[in-house]
Amino acid sequence: MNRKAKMLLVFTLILSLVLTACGKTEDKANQSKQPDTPAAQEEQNTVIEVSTVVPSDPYLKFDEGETYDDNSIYDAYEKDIGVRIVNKWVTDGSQFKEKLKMTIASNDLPDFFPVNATQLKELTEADMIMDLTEVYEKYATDETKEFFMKDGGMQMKSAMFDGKMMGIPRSSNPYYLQFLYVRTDWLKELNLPEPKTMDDLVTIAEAFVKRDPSGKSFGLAVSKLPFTVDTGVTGLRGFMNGYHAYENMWIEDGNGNLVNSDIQPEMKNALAALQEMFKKGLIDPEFAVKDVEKESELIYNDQIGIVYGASWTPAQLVKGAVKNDEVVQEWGVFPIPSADGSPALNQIGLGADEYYVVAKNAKHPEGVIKLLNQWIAVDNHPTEEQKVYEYGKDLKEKGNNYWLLNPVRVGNQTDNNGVILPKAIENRDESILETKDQRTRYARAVQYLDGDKSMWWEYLISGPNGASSIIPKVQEEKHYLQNKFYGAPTPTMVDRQEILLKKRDEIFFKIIMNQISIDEFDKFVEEWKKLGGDQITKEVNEWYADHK
Amino acid sequence: MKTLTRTWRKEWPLHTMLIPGLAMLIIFSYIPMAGIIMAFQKYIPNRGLFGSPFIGWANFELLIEYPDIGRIFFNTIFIAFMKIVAGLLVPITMAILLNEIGREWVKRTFQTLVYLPHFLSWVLLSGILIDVLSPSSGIVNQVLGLFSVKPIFFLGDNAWFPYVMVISDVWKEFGFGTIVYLAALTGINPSLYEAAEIDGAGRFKQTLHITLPGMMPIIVLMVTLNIGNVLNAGFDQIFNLYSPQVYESADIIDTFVYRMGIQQAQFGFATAVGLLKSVVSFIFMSLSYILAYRIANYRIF
Amino acid sequence: MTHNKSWGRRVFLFSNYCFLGFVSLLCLMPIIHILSMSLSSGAAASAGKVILWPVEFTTAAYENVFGKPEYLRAFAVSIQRVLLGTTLSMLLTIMTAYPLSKDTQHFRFRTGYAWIFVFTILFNGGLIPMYLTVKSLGLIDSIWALVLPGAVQVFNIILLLNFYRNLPKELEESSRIDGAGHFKTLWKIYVPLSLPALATTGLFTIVGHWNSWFDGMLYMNHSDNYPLQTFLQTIIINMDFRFIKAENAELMLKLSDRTSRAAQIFVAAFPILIIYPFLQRFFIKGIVMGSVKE
Repeated sequence: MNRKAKMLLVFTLILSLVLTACGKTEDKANQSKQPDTPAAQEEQNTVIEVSTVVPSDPYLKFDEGETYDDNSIYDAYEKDIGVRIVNKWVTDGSQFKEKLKMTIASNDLPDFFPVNATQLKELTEADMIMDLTEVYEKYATDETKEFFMKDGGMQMKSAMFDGKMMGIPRSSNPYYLQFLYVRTDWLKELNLPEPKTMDDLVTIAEAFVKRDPSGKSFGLAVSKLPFTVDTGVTGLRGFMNGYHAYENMWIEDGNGNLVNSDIQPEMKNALAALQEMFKKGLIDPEFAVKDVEKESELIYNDQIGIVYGASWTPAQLVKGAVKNDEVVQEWGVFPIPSADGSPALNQIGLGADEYYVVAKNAKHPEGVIKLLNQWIAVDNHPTEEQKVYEYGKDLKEKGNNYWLLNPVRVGNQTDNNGVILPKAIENRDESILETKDQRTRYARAVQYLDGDKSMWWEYLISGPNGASSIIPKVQEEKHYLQNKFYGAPTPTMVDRQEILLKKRDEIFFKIIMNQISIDEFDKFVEEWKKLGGDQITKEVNEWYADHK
Repeated sequence: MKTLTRTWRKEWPLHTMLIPGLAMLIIFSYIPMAGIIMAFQKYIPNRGLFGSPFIGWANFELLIEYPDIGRIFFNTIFIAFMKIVAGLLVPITMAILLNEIGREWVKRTFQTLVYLPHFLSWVLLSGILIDVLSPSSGIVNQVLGLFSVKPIFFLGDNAWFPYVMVISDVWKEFGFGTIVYLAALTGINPSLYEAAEIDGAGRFKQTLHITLPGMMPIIVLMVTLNIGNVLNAGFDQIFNLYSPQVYESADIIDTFVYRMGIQQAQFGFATAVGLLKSVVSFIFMSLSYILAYRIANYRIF
Repeated sequence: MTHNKSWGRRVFLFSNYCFLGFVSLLCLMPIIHILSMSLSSGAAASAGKVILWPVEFTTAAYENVFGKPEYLRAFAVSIQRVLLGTTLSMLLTIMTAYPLSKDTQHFRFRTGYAWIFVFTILFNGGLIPMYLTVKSLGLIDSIWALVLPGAVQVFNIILLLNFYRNLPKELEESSRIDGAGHFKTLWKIYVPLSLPALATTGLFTIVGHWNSWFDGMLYMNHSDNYPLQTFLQTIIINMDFRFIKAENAELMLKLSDRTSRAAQIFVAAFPILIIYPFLQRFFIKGIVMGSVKE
């Protein structure tokens, strides 16, 4: 009896503690909401304060005495536009997303912060973020509004829910293309032509493998996550596009409906071709476990001479290509080849996969728009004084990456680097350069031409036959295909996308690695439909009907 | 009533000693446990734990209805169970063998060396394992080649993958267990060995009849505590080493929850999975506690 | 007969040395590999050329760590957390394990209490409620956020209570007869006799505090308050080429995420390796050995 009584006592104690503690948490939450009212009446001329959260970056080097919380860029914003930026927290870039999730989950939001599309939708549904339509209308400058309309307003539309603007898209150029990079010194040595078709690619790959007497070479570099857009180099998207197959995109079926590209017959062709290459020993049999860096070892060590990659790939290749100030590997960049007569279309996204959102109870949403206006101005046409926003107080390039401190950063939706840079570099003509980005790139490429081999990569990106030079033609002739679905994930997608991607990766890998027959693809298509794919297709088409 | 007072008078200092620990536990363990209700909610941050709508078992249904769930549970338990067994046998053997060494400095050096891998992260180790196990150039396959074994793609083969996980994990963590068992060995009375020696018992017999029984309490204890990990197969390790073609043998609960997390902010779902894991572990641990008590008449804690 | 036996013993000892030597080598090789990697150039490490000797020797990865002013501050935070955290945890462990080590005749509620403790190994509310608790206690950005939440280490308590139970009862009884209370018995008899077990649990606590970085990231809003491991997470060079705007090509060639990760391990593990031999003295010399009954 007494034993029971005592147990009861202990539990009552625990319970009461739990209750009081919970009560306290709520009290605090209420308190922090109270002092809203007086601030709203502040005069417009005074400095307003907005809080945010910041990912730190190992490349950022501070001037003496400056920190993330207190630096010349924050000072400049306060002085120039009257917005004081306060960091609620700063954390390492790789942990930023994790900590942000925690911040959201505990409803401890800063005034503004960057989120991805899924979070944007969830925050909107939870009514935690502010409708920016009016603030944007009132405070955004004409320049800003124009800036976001360069792509016809597509990226902006992806931030709209029921006609309300719930976030500012972190815009960028959507023409994030894949290119084919090939060792041109080997092509010359073996007397091979440049790759124009997929057959050429296989021929070259075979020749490259035979070239190495040790037998340790492979044809094409592939790494462990070859289908995702995040694998900017050593992926397979470019390869698949060559067969008119596209990774997880929603494309028109010709009858006005959207279908998923993963289950189309073109995908089967692409997989069959990969399996064929695997059988011939043209693909590293261990690619499935190697990440980009691991697979790149083979490139650096002259064991692979062909790789698909984004325009910045040369910055990766330089680790093997330049040694002791000498170029030891020569690379050329080519448009992705096609398997048949019709040109290969590069699959591209929207160009905006993150959004700046403003917390529901933020006092000064206009501060965020002002930051945006200022960034767009200083990033595109800085005055001498405004160079502080890029370089810090000394107003000149020191390799300290101070621009990372700007809390709101959006990129141009279009760029004409491909038109301007190759010409400028070829003729050493500085006068035609338009943007800051172009000037930086031009300077680096010229450095290379003047003998600084460590800048080799920039020349291959921006130079006369560089990756950028290919882009204008792709854009003009529309050799690209954009995802037709840019809405938030549908309900079935939220629940079922994971299993569909898992099955897809499992089957695709096994087909490529020749563990199962290519005909398993047909079974996969059936399974995909049953596992929720059909339902998702239905939901996507309902969305499409409203957004055509 | 009298007995109560007498017991209280006798035992109150013992209760007092527990107060600081209990207080900390209540604040930092039991109060946050309120979060378990998220498993039954669609958690909405600005409505908080007590304002979010309840959705019954929906989070659990999402888990149970997942097409590969059987396979995932099997993989988790299979890998975790083997890790528990191997993680028991290896350190015990090592501790006994190490105890046979007379020279103090050798013993210490060895102990330090085997504890080193504990400090390495799986991110780095995965790179090393890929090299060492490579079918084309890895040292393991080269050695096997000497015995004319065909190269094996350990990390890419469903038949091998779980075992590679077990072996590499045991390699990384056995130093920790060895320390615990060595500490237990120091507790054994040396006069027992002397007596056995006089009786003519050999080293092996001494191990069997003195060392092992002497370690038994700590062994039982470690088994019970480790059984709580029966659904933890090691996220960091598997996440860094698996690939799609070995999903059928490598995908575990935690990797699955991670991938789901990319598609949705899964607070409720993750909590539901966590709760399920806790309940299962709790059942296993209680069983082993009861078994130890019934069979060996030994209370682990 | 005796001669024969000692011969067998010699064979055993020889193979035992060989076997243990082999095992230590297995544990040592990866460490040497990673050490060499940390001392090689980023380009060589990226090309997979480093095996057991540095290639293109450079200390750039270490300079990158030690060159940052935050390093010393983070180091100090870590020392502080280890000292505070270990002291607190050990006090709690010592004190909690004592009543729980009594059998039911002497302490009737021990089993109930024990389960209250063990329960927390298995059940927890997850990160969000934990974060909310720490936040509502006002511990964000305070060293106590790193020390208090994990202060009760149930695993160590169980380990220690088992050790206590094996201590000779006679010692305790005689101390009680001398009129010493529970507290005095604990400090005068139990603690000195349990040094090996305390050294073991102490080591686990120190290593645990030293190695954990996630709580630093979670509870510290300002990087000034980061412990060393959390700070070290921030120096890993992650290439994000998609936003390659004015990135530093020179740094990229000198460092890679492999060299910086490798250096990170050594910077972090070094202090532990230094205190380890000191603690070892305690585990191996079982002070109580002679008095333990079996």
